[in-house]
Amino acid sequence: MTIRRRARRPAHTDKLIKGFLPKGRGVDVVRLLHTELGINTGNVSSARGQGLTHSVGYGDWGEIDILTVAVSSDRADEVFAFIYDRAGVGVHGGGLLFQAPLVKVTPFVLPQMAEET
Amino acid sequence: MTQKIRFGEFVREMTINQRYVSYNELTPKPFVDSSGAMVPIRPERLRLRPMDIRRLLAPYIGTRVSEQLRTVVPLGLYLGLFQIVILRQPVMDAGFIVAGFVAVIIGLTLFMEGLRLGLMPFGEIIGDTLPKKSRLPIVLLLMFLLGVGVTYAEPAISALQAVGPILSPHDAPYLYSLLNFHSNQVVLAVGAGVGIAAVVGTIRFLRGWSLKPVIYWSMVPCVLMVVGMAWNPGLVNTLGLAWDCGAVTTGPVTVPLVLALGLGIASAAGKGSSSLSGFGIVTLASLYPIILVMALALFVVATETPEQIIAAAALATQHSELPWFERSPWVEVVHGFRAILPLVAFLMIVLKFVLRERLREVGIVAYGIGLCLLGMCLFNLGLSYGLTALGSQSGDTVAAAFARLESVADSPLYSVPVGISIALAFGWALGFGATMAEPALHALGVTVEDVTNGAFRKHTLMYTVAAGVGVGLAIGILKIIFALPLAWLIVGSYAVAVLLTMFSTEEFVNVAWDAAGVTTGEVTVPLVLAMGLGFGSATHAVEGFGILTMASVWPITTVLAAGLWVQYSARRRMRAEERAEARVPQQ
Amino acid sequence: MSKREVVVLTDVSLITCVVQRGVADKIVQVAYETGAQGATVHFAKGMGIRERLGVFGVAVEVEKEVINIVVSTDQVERVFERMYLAGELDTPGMGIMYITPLDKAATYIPPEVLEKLSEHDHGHGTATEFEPVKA
Repeated sequence: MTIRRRARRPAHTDKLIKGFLPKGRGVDVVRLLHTELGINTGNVSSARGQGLTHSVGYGDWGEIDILTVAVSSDRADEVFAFIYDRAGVGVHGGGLLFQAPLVKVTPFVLPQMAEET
Repeated sequence: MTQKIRFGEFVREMTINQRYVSYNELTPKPFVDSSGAMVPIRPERLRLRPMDIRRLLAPYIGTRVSEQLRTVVPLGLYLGLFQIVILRQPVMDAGFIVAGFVAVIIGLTLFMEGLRLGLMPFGEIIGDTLPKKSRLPIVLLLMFLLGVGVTYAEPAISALQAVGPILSPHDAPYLYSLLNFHSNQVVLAVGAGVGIAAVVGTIRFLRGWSLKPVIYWSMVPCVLMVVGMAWNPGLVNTLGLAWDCGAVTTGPVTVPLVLALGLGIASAAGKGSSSLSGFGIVTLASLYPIILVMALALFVVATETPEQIIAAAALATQHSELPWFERSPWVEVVHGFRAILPLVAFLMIVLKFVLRERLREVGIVAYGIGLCLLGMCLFNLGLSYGLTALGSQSGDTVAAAFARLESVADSPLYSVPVGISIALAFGWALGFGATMAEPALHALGVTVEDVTNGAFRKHTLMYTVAAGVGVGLAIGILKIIFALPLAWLIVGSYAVAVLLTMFSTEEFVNVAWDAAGVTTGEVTVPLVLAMGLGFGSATHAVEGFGILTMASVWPITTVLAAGLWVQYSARRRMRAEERAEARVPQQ
Repeated sequence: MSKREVVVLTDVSLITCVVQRGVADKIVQVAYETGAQGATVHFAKGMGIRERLGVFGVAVEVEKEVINIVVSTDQVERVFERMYLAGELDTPGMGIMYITPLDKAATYIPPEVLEKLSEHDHGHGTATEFEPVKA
């Protein structure tokens, strides 16, 4: 057994998964991530978008949700596929999903779940 | 002879020389004090030379002034040219009017900037925290108080009151009685209506109701009362007042606050698929006062007879000298302060004692509120001496285009059809221009653009609404010229609006109906009333009310129609793109 | 987990550009002309310079627009530079932009395109088989 050293984590371990989703779908996905995968690091903000989704629109631009989830590398593929599936990204007008490497992520634990983990 | 160039080389030639600079060279190094703790880095205050200050301030002031110039100057030029070229009348007090326009532009600029810096943050922070920190009854109570309070602050209400003494008690006794003896109750009824609207709107957000059924159900009592009152000859005249009251309730201070509160509550409730589902209170705030004022009219009819009113009116005709604060120019300043200070005080109290929150950037907020006050006073003064003065000159005389007027030599100036067309065109352009200068609409536009992250443009909204107000004014003028029954105009116009509502999507319904509430504010109301009275006296109409009603219902139709068109063309374009994709399957 | 196939795109980059409120549409238009296929913009508030200017801080627009555009790695330099020029980011205070490398991306890809691509993969044709897209 090796002694744990305070070492730098290898770069590009964790992932940032970001989605441009139709308006209103972001919150649903965050809720699903919490209930089905136990992932609580999802956030939704809003933006206007072009050429990505079929949703609430006012001419040139439509309203979209931006979903941001930071995950550890071992769950990245699972979460990516989960969002792809549940948010309907593969459907025409379903938006765009992408994943970027991160240098560092802080662990995020909900206060009341501290003893469970 | 052709020369072959590799695309890569071409791109390399085209691109700019990139120079690499390490950001590590530019960021400050951490500094540790003797005990090993890190010293926070405080960037130095930048020193500005006079030239830098000019460079900073010139675009800051320039963009803001030019935005108001673009909205106000065309209106002024249009009114002036119309009077000189088409009505062939000289513009009186031209110096005063130009000064007034300058004051309107500066006032509007200051007010809008102050609104953004001072009042919007208030609304946002209260809207965000109120639903989280307070229980439902308190939220509802505060919303109700806010609704009543803003009505008293709204300057346009007093414009309606000012029309009161001009009426003859013989022709329209109940209207005379409402405006002269019951004017306090009228304002109270309007206030209560706005309060109820705020409560209903809040409950709607919390329950996630769609606005459509709320509108339909609110229309039912409105239409029933209108039809009922239309049969009673004594009551018909009061219809115009009741509906015009609804049109003037919501002004530039109320709108951003009510919207911010609504948006905050709606987002806290987390219902609705569009960012615009937080709208809809403003339109209720113009429907419910109408119902209450109509009820008040019914009450007056039940308790008073025309003879009593005429007798009482004879007693009340002795004029007393107005106290100093009700005379120009002080009254404009008083109105400016009255529109802002009580509201800000109320919000401060709510913020401090109910929510126990603190404002960030207190200095900037105070600067903003100061700008609001100064801007509002300047704007009011400019309105009285510039815009309204010019508007009432042309409004008074525009009827000379087709009718005989004492004040205008060789009137009618044109044959009846031409003259009436001119009057209608005048009304349309006046409505369009005045609406573009309406601060409440600017505020709505800013909010709509903000919450949709710019997907819904402020200018798109303003042009559509202004076009609708123009249509409404033209119809209102027809009403006065041909003495059309207002009741059927109201029912017909709202029927069109409701029909379009059924076909429209929720987000456009929200914005369209709210736009109806904000369109008629302090720019439009005095201009329209002056014009209405001018037409009324030229055509011997009993009263000039009702134009504002039309001006506030037709924007609903234009905004909804524009929304349907936009969505239709977006769908068509999307289909075209799909076909194109299928043909050229390459990325 | 679902058994459905996930079409994953590789060789993608994200361009992010932070500019003053009101400038984004112009930059997005240029990005489109350079080959970008979609864009998102959201409003944001910036900090930093206002506090250091004292009273004159009110003259600095804190309101920003943030543009996010996902492009292929072949395009990224070209789009980046055209956006840089369109936004006049070489002028002080105009804004900042950066490129984020992406592991992968996913979106709807028309089935016809996938078909063509898989034919290509199986070696039935070369790139010359496709007609060049006319600009």
